Amino acid sequence: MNEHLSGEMLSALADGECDPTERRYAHEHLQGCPDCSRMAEQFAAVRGLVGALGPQVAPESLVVTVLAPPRTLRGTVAYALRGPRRYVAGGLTAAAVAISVAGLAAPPQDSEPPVEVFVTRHVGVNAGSASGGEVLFAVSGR
Amino acid sequence: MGPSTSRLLPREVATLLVCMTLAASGIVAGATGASSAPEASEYLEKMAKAEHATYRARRLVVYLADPQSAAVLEIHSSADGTFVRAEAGTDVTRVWRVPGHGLTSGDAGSFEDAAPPAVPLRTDEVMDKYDVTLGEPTMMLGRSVVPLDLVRRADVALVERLWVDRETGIVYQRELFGPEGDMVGISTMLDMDWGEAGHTETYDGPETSKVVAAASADAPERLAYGYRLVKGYRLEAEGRPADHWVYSDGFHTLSVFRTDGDMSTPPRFHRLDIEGREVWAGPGPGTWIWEGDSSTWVLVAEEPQLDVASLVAPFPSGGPSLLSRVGSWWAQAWHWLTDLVT
Repeated sequence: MNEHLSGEMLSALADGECDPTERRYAHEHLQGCPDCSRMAEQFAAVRGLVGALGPQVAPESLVVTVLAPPRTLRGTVAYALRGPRRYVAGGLTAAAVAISVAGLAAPPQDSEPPVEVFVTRHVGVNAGSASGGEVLFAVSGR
Repeated sequence: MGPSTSRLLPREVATLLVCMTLAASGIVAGATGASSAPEASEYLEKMAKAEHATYRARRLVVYLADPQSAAVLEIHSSADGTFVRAEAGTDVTRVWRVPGHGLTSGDAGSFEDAAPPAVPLRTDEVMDKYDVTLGEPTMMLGRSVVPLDLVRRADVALVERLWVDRETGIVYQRELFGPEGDMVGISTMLDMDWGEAGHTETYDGPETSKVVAAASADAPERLAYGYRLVKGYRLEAEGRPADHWVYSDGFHTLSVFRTDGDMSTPPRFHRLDIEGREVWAGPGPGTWIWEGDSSTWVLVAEEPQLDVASLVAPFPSGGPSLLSRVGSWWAQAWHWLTDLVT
């Protein structure tokens, strides 16, 4: 007994896509192989069901959305300000402005530079006997 | 004839005397200029070599301007490296330097450096920048020392006088001068033991902040007064990342630090208005800070009488822009919000 027919072969057979040689070989195999015959019947049944489906019509809203030109900034703003969305957009804008103004009014987050640390680092880079940094050793408490 | 001779003779003698005087002064000047410059170079070469001499010494350092302060330095030097312990009141700073490793420990922090910069004394650069003249030798701690006056050619300012051991090149005394010619700092040898570096301390403090060599592509290659960029580093100071750019003029070292963020003025710094930019000068010699490009900048210099305007000119200045402030605030608000949520 030859090996069973592959799924691809059975699918091609159901779709009528086999060449004459393949078709002859498949039919000869199916006559002697009940398993493959059953599978071939199932492939044929599925093909029949798909073929029986009528053409589907896309919803109009989907067609309009897909075919519509890309929205411009002005269009986006207009869309955001349409209907109840205008209140949400207005609220968010007002909040952003308020936060920015508060940030400008608040004192900046300054901190004292670590000058003494830097001076310590500086005297470490040249501490030979000819170092001119000797006086820097003497002055601390910056 | 006689009268004319009597009139002419003094004129000739006078002319001769003037010529002789001019010639003599020319010879003297020539002799001074011809022999002192090479001699000064020789002393500078000796000083450069003396950086690896073996000795143990103590030095007294006094800063005479505001705020008056003093420190005692204990120096252990050998070919293996240098250790300096500086005590100024209750502050103690210690510096270890061996080839390929540097460690600095002070009250303000400790840094460890796997690639400390090589900032050797460069005689040719010193001679280019300064007019170096020698004075009369004298005795200091039993050694014959000669004074080297360093007059900066750019502004003809006497900035330093070094008393150098004629034999070894060790600087026995260093005097720094202010713009009025007044002495603003002095560092003098208290005692000196030759031939032995002595026992040095070992570091047993908390974990050090590691300094890493870093790119310095945005650092100016050259600054005023002949300072050239030697190396760039990345370090952390009090939790703030900072860049450290090391400059040298062949003799002095100058550091520029850049750290993120805006600054508040440290106490005891006073504001200077320099050609439209705000710079704050610190107490003691050579410390200036300013803001620029959303960073805080700190410049530390050793050389006296520096014009800060020309030094800071290549660096950005000015406080944060309006946009930058709004951006910072939004970032801060976002940080608070995420903290609140998490």
